[in-house]
Amino acid sequence: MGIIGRFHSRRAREAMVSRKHTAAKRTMKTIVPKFDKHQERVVSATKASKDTSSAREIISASTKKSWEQSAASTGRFKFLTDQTVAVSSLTEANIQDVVLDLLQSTSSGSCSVLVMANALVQSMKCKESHAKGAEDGEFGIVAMLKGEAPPTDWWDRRSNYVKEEMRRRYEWTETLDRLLKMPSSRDEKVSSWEEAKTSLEKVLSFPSEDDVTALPPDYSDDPIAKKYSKKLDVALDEVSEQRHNLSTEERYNFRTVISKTDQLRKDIQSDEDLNSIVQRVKTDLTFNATLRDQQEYYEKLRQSDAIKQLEERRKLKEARERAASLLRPLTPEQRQIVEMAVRGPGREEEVIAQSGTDSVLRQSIRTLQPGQWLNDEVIHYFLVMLANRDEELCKKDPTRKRSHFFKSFFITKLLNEGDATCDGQYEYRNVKRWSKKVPGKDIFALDKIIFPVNMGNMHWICVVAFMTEKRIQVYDSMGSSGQTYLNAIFQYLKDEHMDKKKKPLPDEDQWQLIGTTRDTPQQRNGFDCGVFTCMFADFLSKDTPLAFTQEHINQCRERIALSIMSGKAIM
Amino acid sequence: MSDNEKAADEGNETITIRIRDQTGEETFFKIKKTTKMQKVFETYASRKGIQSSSIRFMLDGERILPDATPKMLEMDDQDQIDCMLEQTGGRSF
Repeated sequence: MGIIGRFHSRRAREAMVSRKHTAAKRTMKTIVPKFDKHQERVVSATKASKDTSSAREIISASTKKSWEQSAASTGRFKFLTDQTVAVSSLTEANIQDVVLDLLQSTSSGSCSVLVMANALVQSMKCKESHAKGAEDGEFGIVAMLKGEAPPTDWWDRRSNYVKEEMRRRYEWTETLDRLLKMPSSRDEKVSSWEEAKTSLEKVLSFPSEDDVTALPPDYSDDPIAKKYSKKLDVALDEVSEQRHNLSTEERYNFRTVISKTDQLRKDIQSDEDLNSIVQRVKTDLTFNATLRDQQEYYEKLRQSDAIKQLEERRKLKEARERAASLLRPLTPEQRQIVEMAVRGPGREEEVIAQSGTDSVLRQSIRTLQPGQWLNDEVIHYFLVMLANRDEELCKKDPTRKRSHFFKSFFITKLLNEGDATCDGQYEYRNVKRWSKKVPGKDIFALDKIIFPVNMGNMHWICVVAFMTEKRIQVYDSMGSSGQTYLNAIFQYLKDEHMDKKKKPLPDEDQWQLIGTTRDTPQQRNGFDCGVFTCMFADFLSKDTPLAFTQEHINQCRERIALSIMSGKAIM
Repeated sequence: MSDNEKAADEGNETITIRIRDQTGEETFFKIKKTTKMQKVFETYASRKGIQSSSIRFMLDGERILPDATPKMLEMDDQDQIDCMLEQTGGRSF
């Protein structure tokens, strides 16, 4: 009992004992009369000899007469090993014990489903190895008593029980692993058994007490069994106690356990019948190994979590810094450049900036004056600056994949917007050749594709296809879901894959289409959506959280103007 | 045929290009491969009666420079140019 004691509260142990008694009485009624005679003989032999080795000889001699008779004497030793199997049986009560122990050990009295599932998996794993240990131990005892292998049917019956138990535990561990992977597991809190049960019931069904195979007979009245079980319990309790007192670090230090084992083995040598204890201690060592492995595994998990958190914090800090730098006023020289561009004199049709095949007319850059609607030229030119920045970033970091920025006319063409006969109809053919101008000429090798979208010559939004993450998301400063565009872009990806790769888009069902989320920055007026669209593209193409708000937008207008005039996006 | 003659011959080669506007209407231009696109754009704009500053000519998703020629753009006979109207926006209601 000692080894398992770690996983059970005293109350549970008491409950277990009373359950054992009830089951034992039931079983005894059927078994005991059959073997009463033999039992008497054994007991009297024991009394006469008062010596375990001679008792064993008598029992052994007796068992050689017939297996049926020896089964009863085996039974008393079975008590020692069966107890292990019975106690570690997976019942609702056992699970409850683990959960309640866990809840008691936390200061807040509550824990997340994740933590609970972790604890359960760990305890299940331990029990799993325990069942294995019991199986081996039993084999030893039976073989020792009989001096030969036990009859096939008995062995099968027993090992089936163990196998069944093992299988069930395996399934449980698997289900619990599934629970660990459920997204709600991280946030959902449990503070009582009822809540824990509700959470657990989502993924698994509780075995009823009846499902658990009837417990083996209780031979605790038998003097021999009593003597051995007491010795065994004391020995095992010592081992258990020792492990219990170890700190987390020490627990994985085997030296103390091993020295204890040697001492135990000395005791056992003087009492051969307790050979099975070796098995148990072995199992105990396996426990520690399992626990250590688990600990290492979760430590690694925790470390990678920590790295992830650190990375997130770094990104958030960077985003805040970026947002803060947006608020920082321009230098007088920069302000001069912006002023001249946005408000300066000059012909409307004058080309004020030129990069590659893209250009901006003076009339276009004037749309960057506060309160003005942005036109396509300004947005597209700014996106060209972002594309140049992306290229530079990729040169610096060879692991970084390129992104591409389409013009808003992509969607206009894809959906035949403004067409006299088929306005709004999706047509892949119209943009079939557009991917020729994509870096690497392959959209599926990109990290992100940014689509600025013009809605009815009234509104600008940004849609991003995260190719690596398999996600398409709408960023609308007015909060729309943009379903039309999500569907169209997803269809484009599928058609493009079919056209260029000559096979359907793989993992099609893994793609997520997401409308504007609540945390997307929103405009608080009727003219800034173009600026928001530029900023979405700016931040997202640099994997920076969208840490800007309406307050930053006028500065953003100046920064876009400055980027256009200086020919490069601000890093 | 000498190389010079060959070059001259290629320069004189004419192709037909289509300009397709957003309504789906197509306008055909028969031009030399060395003609600057600006000439085509101006003709198109004046024929349609629209300001050239409010339209963008696109080839496979990229804008076409006025100084570019079909040869530079590697255009073939019957290739299509998209004529897109200026887009603007500020709000959705």
